[in-house]
Amino acid sequence: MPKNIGLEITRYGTPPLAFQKKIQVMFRTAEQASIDLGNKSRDHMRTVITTNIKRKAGSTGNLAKSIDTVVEAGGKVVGVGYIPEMDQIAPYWYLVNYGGMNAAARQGRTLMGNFEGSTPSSKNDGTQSFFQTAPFYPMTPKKPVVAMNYISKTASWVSTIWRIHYSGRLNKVSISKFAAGAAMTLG
Amino acid sequence: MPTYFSESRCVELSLLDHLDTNLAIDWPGTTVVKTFKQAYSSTINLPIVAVRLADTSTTRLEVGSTTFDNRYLLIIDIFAKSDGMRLDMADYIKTKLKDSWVNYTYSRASGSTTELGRIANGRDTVTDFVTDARIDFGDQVDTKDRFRQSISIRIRHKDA
Repeated sequence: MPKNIGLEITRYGTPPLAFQKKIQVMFRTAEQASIDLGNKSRDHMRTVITTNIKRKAGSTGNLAKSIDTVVEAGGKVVGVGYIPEMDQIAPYWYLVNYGGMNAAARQGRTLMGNFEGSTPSSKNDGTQSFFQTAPFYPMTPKKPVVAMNYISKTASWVSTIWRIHYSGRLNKVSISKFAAGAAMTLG
Repeated sequence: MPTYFSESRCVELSLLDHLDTNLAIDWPGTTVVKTFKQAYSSTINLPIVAVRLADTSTTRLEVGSTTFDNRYLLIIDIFAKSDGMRLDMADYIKTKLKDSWVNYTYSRASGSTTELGRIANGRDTVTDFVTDARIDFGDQVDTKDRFRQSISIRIRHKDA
């Protein structure tokens, strides 16, 4: 009867330190991808807004300008559109996105101004821009602002872009770096 | 020879039909419309549900494929009579969307301006519920805007 039992321990799998580095690389890649996607989303949202402006002649471009990327915690949190800034630069952002009756229309107010120098013509009254300068004609807005839905349109675009580009890119990075056993050094 | 509508148009009309049919049974008196102009019309009373196709994301089904993999963004605006109705109707509509619905290919008979023909053509399925938010314009609001909810969904159409 043997007095000792031989026991061989073989370590397999990823060592804890290597696993930690693997996670760090994955996070860093994800953060970079998030920032990249955030900037592209900002650009896309601006494009959606500028291409959907209904009355182009009088447009200030403030709504598109008010959209910017906000990066926090080094990329762990990436936002598009900072509400306090949008409230200041383009306070009508909410109404333009969701559509509805504007303040003047719902209060039945009459505004003085002109549609590109005249009263709206029957041909172009849906696209002419309104200026509150002379010549002054009384205008009573009655129609609702049609929703532009630039937020949902951008969210939908992000979903597609993520599905076809970014999710695949993240997988490729994590696999290729560790399959080759290289590129373990972190910045 | 009938004129067949495009896939985008059929996707929008199929959802409109699906909601109209269900709301007529479970929420009688609800009007389902397609445009903002109709929703704010003084001749249409609350509750109102406005359905419209807002955007289409087009990609190829796979590398080298000539088949499109379209995702349609549809916006459903609920104009309710009360805050409770707004929430109930939003939940009800989401329940009716979760199991997919029949897509129809619509056509218009030659010479007809009012009658639409339709043939079932597969199903439309929600891939993402993008938003489900209350629209809050503050205290001074139009009657129609007082209890509003906006639901946006991305859907995918699959032929039969």
